[in-house]
Amino acid sequence: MAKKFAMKSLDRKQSIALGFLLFLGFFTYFYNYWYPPKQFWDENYHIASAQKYIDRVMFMEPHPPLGKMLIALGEVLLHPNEKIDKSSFDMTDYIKHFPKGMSFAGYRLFPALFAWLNVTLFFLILLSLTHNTWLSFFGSFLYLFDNAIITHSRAAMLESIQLFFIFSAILWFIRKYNEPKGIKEYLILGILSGSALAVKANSAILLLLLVFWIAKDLRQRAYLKIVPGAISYVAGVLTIFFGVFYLHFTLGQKVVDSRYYAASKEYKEIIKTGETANLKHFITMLKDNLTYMSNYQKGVPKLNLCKPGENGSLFIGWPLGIKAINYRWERHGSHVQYIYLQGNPITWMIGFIAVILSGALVIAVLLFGLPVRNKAIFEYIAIFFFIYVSYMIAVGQIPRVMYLYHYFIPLCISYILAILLLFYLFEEQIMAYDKVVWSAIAIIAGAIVFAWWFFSPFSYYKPLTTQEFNKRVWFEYWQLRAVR
Amino acid sequence: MSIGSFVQFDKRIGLLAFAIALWVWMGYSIASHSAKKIIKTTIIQSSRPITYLDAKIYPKKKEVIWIDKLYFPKSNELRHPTYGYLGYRRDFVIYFDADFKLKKPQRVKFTIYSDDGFCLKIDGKTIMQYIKDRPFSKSEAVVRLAAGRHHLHIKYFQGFGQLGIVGYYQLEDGKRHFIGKSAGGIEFIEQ
Repeated sequence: MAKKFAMKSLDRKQSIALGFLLFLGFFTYFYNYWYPPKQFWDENYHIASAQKYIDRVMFMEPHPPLGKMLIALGEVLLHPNEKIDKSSFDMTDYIKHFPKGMSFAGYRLFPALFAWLNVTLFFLILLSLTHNTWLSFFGSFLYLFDNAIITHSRAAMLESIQLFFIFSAILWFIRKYNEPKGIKEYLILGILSGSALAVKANSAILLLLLVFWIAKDLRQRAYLKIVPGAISYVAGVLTIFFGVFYLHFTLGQKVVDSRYYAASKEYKEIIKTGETANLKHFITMLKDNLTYMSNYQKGVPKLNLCKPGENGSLFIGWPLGIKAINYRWERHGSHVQYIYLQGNPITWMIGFIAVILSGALVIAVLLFGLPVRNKAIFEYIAIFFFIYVSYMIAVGQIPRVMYLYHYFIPLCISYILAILLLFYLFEEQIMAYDKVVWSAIAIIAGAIVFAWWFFSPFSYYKPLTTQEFNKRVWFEYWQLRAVR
Repeated sequence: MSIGSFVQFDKRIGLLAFAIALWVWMGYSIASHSAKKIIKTTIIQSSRPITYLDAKIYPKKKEVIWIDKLYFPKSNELRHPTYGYLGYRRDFVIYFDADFKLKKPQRVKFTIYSDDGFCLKIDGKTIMQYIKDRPFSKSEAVVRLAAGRHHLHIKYFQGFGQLGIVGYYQLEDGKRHFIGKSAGGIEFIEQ
């Protein structure tokens, strides 16, 4: 009961730990997030889309709309570019030239904010799993100091927003996993999963959470709750997903420069008559948008490893950090500033080892009857290992080019696995505050922080000489290349 | 080790060893990618083709790096163990400059593998050269040097196709070492 209570509201120690993590997270994720005031990677696309929401311009998009809407909301809230003419953004899907003096503080607000808040969610996930404050605190370093996620999140991009909803869904899933679940619980899981799905389609992996809840209910013989639960889950997903699209249609009130995208005659007529907010046209507009999304994905080039400068990579190499992407660089004499998508090698290595060991443990238990020492923790290890493998298999079937940041979801799952495994293997020692085990944890935490600091020039656009850059090329296969 | 003793292995020590191994790995990775300032390496990319060693260079880009051994293996792109791929593929020259001290007067054999040509000078005097383009091939020369400090200078050029330059020296004791790596009777001086 005490444990249960602890999970409902944080005790003093847990609150202090979380507060300190948020303090650290402010500096790793949020501080000075508007720097550099220059676009990089997909910001050229995402800011163009976000601006269209602000200006009520109709457009179609390869991604579901929620992420772009939040990027736009940041710009509306902070409005740092009031005196800058951004009307040209409405006439293109890819901004080639940003106006001089433009601030990115608004567009990047929510991605950076969500990335920062994710520290809280990650801590709560670990706390819900282990009920150990210190282990959850140090375990949160895996997310807190991951250079790749930091780099990518301090920009007007979608992944940190997506991770926010994914972490929320996972947290809710864990908290209610062993409890009797009713329609409300399933509905909330559906809403959170739907929110993630409304940001990026690869959030569909969250459907597995429903499957595991149903499997649990089946084992608990709660048969009567399954059908209504599943229906309410689907209702939650669809409400959010369609609701976000409805908002997308409602905001797209005018057409600029005859840019109708893949709008059918009916859709064009709806825009002309100003009835985009009319629900009776929803299906027509949705159909056109989904067709556009599908056709767009078909048009994305396939991975071509022989192409010079190819930024894409094979999913199989992601756990090892293959391959880093140079998002932006700027030369100043003998120094070059970089925004480079490069993971923290310590956290990535820990995640990779955790996946291998989890697989070995699951196979040993399921196939060779290895005794299970903590059934609840083992169940979570099996679940998250299955989610990891399922995501990697699913993503391996996608023919279009994929990038290292498509690994963020399984990467975070691997971090959860790392803490679960540590707890599974050393539960008694952790609870008894064994000096050797806790020294090891502190040493690992120190290594994570050091590696983050060492690779931080790639996240924060700090200048490096060629020699300094090359000290960071630990493995040729990362394909980190200094600019010369 | 018997199975029994393996079972009794203290897993806490395993975790501690893993934690320490992470630091050792980091230290090794950083140290092994930090070259000592032994050989000054000046790379000049030419905007026009270079077909022989003394061809006129039209500098497009110049870069200076430091290396601790003359080892750019045969490849399609200039590569060094410390730096990885350097981005140079064709029409460039490299000047290598290093100082070394010889403990006693003796004969030193220099071996250069290169694709394309090169010229090796000790104290300004040409020891050996191959001025035209060629596949990755060996050149050797023996020179008698006095005890004391000497300056080594190599000019290398790459036209097109495969490239690479690897240099060794051999003292009278018979062991071969990379140019840049100190051995018993010779010390390459860090700048």
